[in-house]
Amino acid sequence: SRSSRQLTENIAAVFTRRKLDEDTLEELEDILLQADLGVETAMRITDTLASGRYGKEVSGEEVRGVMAEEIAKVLEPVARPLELDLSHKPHVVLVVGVNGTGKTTTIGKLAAKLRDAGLKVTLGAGDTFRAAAIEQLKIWADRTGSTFVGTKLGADAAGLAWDAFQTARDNGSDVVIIDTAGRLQNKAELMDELAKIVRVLQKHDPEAPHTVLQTLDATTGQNALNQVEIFRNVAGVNGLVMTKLDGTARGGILVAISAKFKLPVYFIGVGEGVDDLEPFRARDFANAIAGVSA
Amino acid sequence: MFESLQDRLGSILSNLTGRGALSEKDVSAALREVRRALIEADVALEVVRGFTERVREKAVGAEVLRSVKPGQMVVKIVHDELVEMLGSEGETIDLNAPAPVVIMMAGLQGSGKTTTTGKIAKRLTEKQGKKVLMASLDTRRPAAQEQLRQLGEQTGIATLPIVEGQSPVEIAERAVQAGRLGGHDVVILDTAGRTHIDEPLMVEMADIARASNPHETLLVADSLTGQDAVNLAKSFNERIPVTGIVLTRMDGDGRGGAALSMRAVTGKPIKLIGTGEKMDALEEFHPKRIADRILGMGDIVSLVEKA
Ligand SMILES: Nc1nc2c(ncn2[C@@H]2O[C@H](COP(=O)(O)OP(=O)(O)OP(=O)(O)O)[C@@H](O)[C@H]2O)c(=O)[nH]1
Ligand SMILES: Nc1nc2c(ncn2[C@@H]2O[C@H](COP(=O)(O)OP(=O)(O)OP(=O)(O)O)[C@@H](O)[C@H]2O)c(=O)[nH]1
Ligand SMILES: [Mg+2]
Ligand SMILES: [Mg+2]
Repeated sequence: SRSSRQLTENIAAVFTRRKLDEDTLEELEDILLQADLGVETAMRITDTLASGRYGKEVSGEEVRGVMAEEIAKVLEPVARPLELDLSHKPHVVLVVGVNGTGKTTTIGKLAAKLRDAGLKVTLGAGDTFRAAAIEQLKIWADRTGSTFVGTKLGADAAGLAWDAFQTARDNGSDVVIIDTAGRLQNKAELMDELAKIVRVLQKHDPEAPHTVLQTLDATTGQNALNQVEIFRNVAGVNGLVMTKLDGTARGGILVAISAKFKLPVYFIGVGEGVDDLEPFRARDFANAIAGVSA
Repeated sequence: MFESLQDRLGSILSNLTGRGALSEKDVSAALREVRRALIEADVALEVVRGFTERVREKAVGAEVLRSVKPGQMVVKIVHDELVEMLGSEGETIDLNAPAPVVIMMAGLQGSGKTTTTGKIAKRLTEKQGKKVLMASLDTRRPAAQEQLRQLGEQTGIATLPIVEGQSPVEIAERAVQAGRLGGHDVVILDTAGRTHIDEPLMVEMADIARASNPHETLLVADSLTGQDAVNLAKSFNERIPVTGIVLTRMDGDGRGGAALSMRAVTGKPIKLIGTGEKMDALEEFHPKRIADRILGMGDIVSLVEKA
């Protein structure tokens, strides 16, 4: 991609062959900052890089490699495949996140993957707030051959979640995926509504929702850290998807998020099409940030 | 989540006694913290660099008022420079053109274009008594046109009837035509979201602008955007005649540094901010408020101003 090429050029310019000194480290830190890693994480990585190498001559390639290595170390433990427990009938996936981060689209893509694996899927249109959110999910249900459970604009979202579960159980679905309205994590009232959806689902099955997926937009800066903290606390998020990695944003905040919360990252979104959902690969992600060509 | 710049500077500069002029050394120490605060607020690094250099020039040698600490003095200089860079107040939508005045909305996926289209239409209708027509050119995202249609229904504002199979350029032309025939003062074109490296879609966007000749071309961007703000602002600004920026999701608790980045790389004013999902959550932009927010400050500036 363009930006990883840019990054590569940046680092190559810093490091044709040069002593690893304060100035050089600062330039490297800048490269990480430009990928949205945040000040703390960027400094931690350059510190690790400097230990044992400070004052020595290093090549650009070496530095790139080590930088990718350090980032991958943080990400590898969280790069895990999404596992469904099909003894739950149905396995409940609740999808949450800030407005416009890609919840509904990710549900469509995920439904397609599950259908391809031969599973029966029901989608619940729990965004009863945003105009045409219900119609949007309905189209994804039709595209992916999923059963659709919807209601009217303005209806109670928790009620819809309850109905979706019931329909999924009655029609023998393996998985029910429930969409929710986007909300900012600093809106207490909207976050309470999310907690209510979770409580209602637990009345059906005390262990539900089994998977609470949060979508993060790769273009988001430092606020994403806060997003995960609060959604995790309120809705019990236990897995992440980072969307919109097909742009120039590198989503480096995920490194800070992974270091802090250690939540599994299941997928990345790389486009708007039904197939544009890929497993999260720590190495590739780290390489893109450090500008290492695969 | 973040320490305010004031706290930071307080801790590193509390030892200095505030007399005479700010020295190079005081300023450098302070600017390290300023840089960090700006990056944590998501101001793009290249913009941070230029900014801290300008502050350095202004701050070194500046007279420290007797009643304030040097750190507070630096904050004041930083704040004023930020406000200046963010631009003046009161630059809002300009309708000074023959009717129908075309407003085109563009931006990345999910940035808030459709919602903002409804908000602007409602505002122009209710506050300025304009007759507005909204048209969705988003033929790609599922139910995107239906979304705008429903917003029209909610707000009582006309939307262009949906015709299946038309291209975005064709819809734009039909919208302008309908606006003319229907006696509309304003036609707002809501376009599909696109990443700025998606070449076919960037070409399409430029074609739409050419076909509809917008008087206002608004770049709609998420205030929570990180370092990518510069890339996206540059790329959109290169391809279409951007006349202003709308920053959405200002009701979030992000620091909103993207405002500074986007303004700095495009030189275009921030005309409006989105402060909620409802149709009336649209406000004028106040540089001073955003500056306070980026720096995460309490009332230090007014303190220095009063001194
Ligand atoms: N380029 C790109 N666009 C994406 C990706 N994922 C989603 N989008 C687009 O981002 C926009 C928002 O996606 P949605 O799925 O509607 O997001 P949401 O979180 O459901 O939004 P709300 O329900 O309004 O909060 C749409 O235009 C999607 O097509 C991705 O991985 N890459
Ligand atoms: N909290 C908040 N949410 C907003 C604001 N503006 C838009 N939204 C929400 O952000 C999400 C995306 O908004 P849309 O207007 O659909 O965005 P878009 O740019 O048209 O999206 P695409 O057409 O898919 O590219 C929706 O959930 C909106 O309700 C705002 O200022 N504050
Ligand atoms: Mg949605
Ligand atoms: Mg839209």
